[in-house]
Amino acid sequence: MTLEELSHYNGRDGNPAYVAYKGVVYDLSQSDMWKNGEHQGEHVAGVDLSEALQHAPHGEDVFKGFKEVGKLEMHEKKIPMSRQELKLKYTITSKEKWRRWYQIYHPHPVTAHFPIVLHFFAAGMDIAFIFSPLEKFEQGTYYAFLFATLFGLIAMISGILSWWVNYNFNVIRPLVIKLYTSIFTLLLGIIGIVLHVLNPMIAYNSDALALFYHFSILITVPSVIVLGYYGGRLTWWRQTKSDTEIANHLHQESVESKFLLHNDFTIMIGGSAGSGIKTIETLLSDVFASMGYYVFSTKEYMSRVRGGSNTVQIRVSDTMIKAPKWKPDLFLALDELSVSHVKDRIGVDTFVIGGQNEKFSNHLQISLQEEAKKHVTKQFINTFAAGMLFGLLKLPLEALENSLKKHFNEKDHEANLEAIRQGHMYAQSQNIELKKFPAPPKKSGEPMRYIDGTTAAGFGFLVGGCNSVTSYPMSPSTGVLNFLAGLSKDFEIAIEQAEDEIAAFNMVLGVWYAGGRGLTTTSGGGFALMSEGLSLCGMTETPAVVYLAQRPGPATGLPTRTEQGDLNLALYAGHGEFPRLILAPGDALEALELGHLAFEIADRFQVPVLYLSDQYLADSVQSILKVDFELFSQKRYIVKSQADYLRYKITQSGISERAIPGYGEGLVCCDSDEHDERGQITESYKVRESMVDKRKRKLEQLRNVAIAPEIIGDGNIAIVGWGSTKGAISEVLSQLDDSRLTQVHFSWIYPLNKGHLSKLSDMDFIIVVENNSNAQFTDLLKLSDVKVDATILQSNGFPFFSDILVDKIAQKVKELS
Amino acid sequence: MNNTFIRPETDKAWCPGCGNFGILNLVSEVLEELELGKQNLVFVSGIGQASKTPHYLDVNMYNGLHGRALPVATGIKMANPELIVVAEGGDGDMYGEGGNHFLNAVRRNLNIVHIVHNNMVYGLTKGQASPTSQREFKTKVQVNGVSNEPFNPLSVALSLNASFVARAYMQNKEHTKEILKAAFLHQGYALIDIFQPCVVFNPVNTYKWFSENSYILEEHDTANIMSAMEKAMQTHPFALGIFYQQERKTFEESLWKSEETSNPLYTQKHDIKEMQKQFDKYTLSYL
Repeated sequence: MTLEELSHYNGRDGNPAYVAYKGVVYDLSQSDMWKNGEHQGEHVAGVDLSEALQHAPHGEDVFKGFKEVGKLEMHEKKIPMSRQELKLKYTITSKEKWRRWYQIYHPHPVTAHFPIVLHFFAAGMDIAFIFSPLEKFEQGTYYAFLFATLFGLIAMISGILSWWVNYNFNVIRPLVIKLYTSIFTLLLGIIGIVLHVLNPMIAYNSDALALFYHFSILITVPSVIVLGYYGGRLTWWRQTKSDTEIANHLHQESVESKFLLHNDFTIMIGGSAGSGIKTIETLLSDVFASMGYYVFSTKEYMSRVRGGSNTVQIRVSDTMIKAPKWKPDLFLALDELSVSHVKDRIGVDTFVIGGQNEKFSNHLQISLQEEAKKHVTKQFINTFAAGMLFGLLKLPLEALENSLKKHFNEKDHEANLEAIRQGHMYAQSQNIELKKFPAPPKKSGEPMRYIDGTTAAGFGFLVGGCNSVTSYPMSPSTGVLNFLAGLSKDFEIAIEQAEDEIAAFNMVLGVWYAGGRGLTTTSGGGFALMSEGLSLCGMTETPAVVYLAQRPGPATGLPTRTEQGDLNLALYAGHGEFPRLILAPGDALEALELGHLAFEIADRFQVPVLYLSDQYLADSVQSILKVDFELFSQKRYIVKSQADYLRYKITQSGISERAIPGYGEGLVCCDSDEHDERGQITESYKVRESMVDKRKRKLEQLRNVAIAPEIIGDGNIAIVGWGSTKGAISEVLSQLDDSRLTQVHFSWIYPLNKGHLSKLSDMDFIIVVENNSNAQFTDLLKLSDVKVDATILQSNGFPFFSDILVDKIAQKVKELS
Repeated sequence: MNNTFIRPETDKAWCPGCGNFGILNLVSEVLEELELGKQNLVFVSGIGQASKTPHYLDVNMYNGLHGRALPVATGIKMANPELIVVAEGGDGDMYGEGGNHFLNAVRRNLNIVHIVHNNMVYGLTKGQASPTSQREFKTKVQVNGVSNEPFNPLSVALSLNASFVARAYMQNKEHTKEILKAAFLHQGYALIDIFQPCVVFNPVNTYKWFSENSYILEEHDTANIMSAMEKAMQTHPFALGIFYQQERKTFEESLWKSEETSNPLYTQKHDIKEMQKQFDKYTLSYL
């Protein structure tokens, strides 16, 4: 049984009352405590109560004696709801209180039933009258219809109240249908009543007006059926869920787009570091976004500040795309070196502009520097090239000019605008046909927003309440430190550059201990230094959040390139046993959402949260829709201490209330030694055992609130990925368009919930895609008894390119099936 | 003696005759006499015999890792500048394992009291040389005697323009308490290196040795860093007292722009509307 199916067994309208607990569905219809599918005015039937029961005054033994009717499948097709559900559980707003009140009294369902019954009754009486025109039938019809209309008005008013309480007047299809249908019903009612008032004998006539009178009475029946049907569909559980749809619309948008084949144009630009390649990337990303396109851009650069050969890739598309390609449609070489640097990436269809030493099949064999010098000066090569690009693509120059004005200092406008125009004119004189450029998506007219993975993570931490960052700089993590330091002028954020990563992490612990919400940013090498501190974090049960942007190791490795090689480090760092959470976002939106979640979980469960990004995700730019920050819960778990406060009080959940020094009467004592409930050093074996158990219970709590993997498609071959591989796998599966393939994306990496993995065990084959050479996540899955049939691994410092990955996945699928 | 700052029902793990008992008593008496509120007082420590002191004091405590008390103290001051924070530990903890943090706490002018028990030996690990062990000191590891130059915490702190530098010998009870009180009243980083014998593992630097090899500074100008440095460089005998004291802008004063914004972080929440505004700025035209 799925959650969706479960929701129908809500104990109301004659349905049995089912609830799920830890994957098992129980029938509580016979329980006195669950009349009408409601329990204590707090809970409703038809939902999974695993989480709620932890806060209940009774244990799970309450289910004893009730019939097990099935197992709950955690698989939610297409839409990853669980994160939103989790978010909702944390949020108790004033609207939530209204909702609870509403749940107890629900005026709309109460008032709605009267008019429904009366409309049926009126129609029944009218039919009787038509067959046997007796006065009692006529009178019965009229009064029933009169009261049906009056009660209908009341039901409408209460319905609108419902719309506000539950939906914020949000436009959702069933509600729109209900609104129109009820207006229609009300109008017919008024017309019928008016007709009857004007001519009380109208029913006995057979003219057009009389026919309309009968028609209005009879047609309201299908109307109220529609009203009742959609009302029934909006059960309480679904209302809660629909409410989250506001938060979820971004996800749906991005998820759905994976099923659409996109049209894109991929541009790659090569040049040396410091030559202004960044300028052209900014300019082009902005201009395409302002034209309403979905934009994806990613860079590949050498570990040097000046010189070398770097590339940026900009993909312009009519739907959301979140992956780079190996072979671009167009390559723009700003210098000769960049041509030899990317030679392998020139496909038969790639059009190359620039470079004179090599010859390609589609090639404008010029020196861009020389051309720029000829038309303007060498200094303006970037804007000249941008203008040229627009000329080749036959795009309007005006948009480019506007973006240029936005990003350049005013004094530089004139010369650069001239360079654009010259480049544009030059391109037009060349008479080159390129691959068709996509049309802007339908919804255009509004500029598209775009964000890089670093900034998205930064906003996530910010909305998670991060108010302190203590870090030692290390690529590719430093962007988040820079971002939050930049915002510390507008927000209360304490920033300190630590003397080393050991200090950085211990500062985080000090910050949380004293009531702040601390973050540290680092990469693998720095995180390795934090290991001992991580263990301290586990022992003292101090919350902490680490932003770990991975790069290829070991040791210094490839400092400016990407890999998913530090999962095992994150999993096993720190001596001794203690719970931790590992998250890994797959795209910008997830980067933001998980940033918030990291702080929420760290605070609530008093555990270290390791947020695994990587250079690719951190540095790539993708489209994002507007995010409503009001939707993120702002819970805080600090308590004011009493004089007899115990920091490590043994509890059923393993979580002790966390007080902070200086707030309340008590003292807050944290000890790195094994400690008693006071936080005082002890060597008692009994206390030791109870404390180990207490910490372990938190791990189980974490498992229970785990976010299910996002599952897209319903085939029986799973293509599993974690973290930043999400976009590439999505693009590949949409290209392959093979109904046997299903994408399974993990962003909650550890601890895994076995219930969530059950979907995988139903698969015929499982293929795991990872950007490392040891298949680290595959190992983690194997520890949870998931059988992996094949892996696709990579460790060349690049992200997965969709046009290469597509062949690899197709090949593996062919081999297996 | 009825001292409310001594934590009840605790078993002290020090050897009989250990100098740590004396320091514990002096510190607790100073807290009592200064009438400090327990709730606003946080003691941070690392690992070592001296680092157990906070366990025996009835105050807020964060006992962390070997050498890492100072970064934790830094974090605490960042999150709540209103707390009075004391970092306490031994010479191995603070000058050895945590040496880098020591340098940087001084440079930050972290507004804390930094108490270092200096017994010139490793006690918890049973008798190896510490950074402050004197030359020729023989141990099971340094079998031919210590050859390293002893670490001089005072001159190092002074070279970084520390705002309060002092040394005491725990047997000079009133003198040590006087210095401790001055340190608590000082705004900014205050180092008090306290000589303390280890009766089990240091047969050289005994109660007698410390008495014979130290003297109390008199007629010393605590505002003169050069003369402080001169006194700090002199050893055998070692001067005791406040070497240098000069208040300057503290860590928390530099961290926060104004007094209104230096409220404890737990009282603050970010403005969601401002966040929405920033998101628009970054996602619509900012790269």
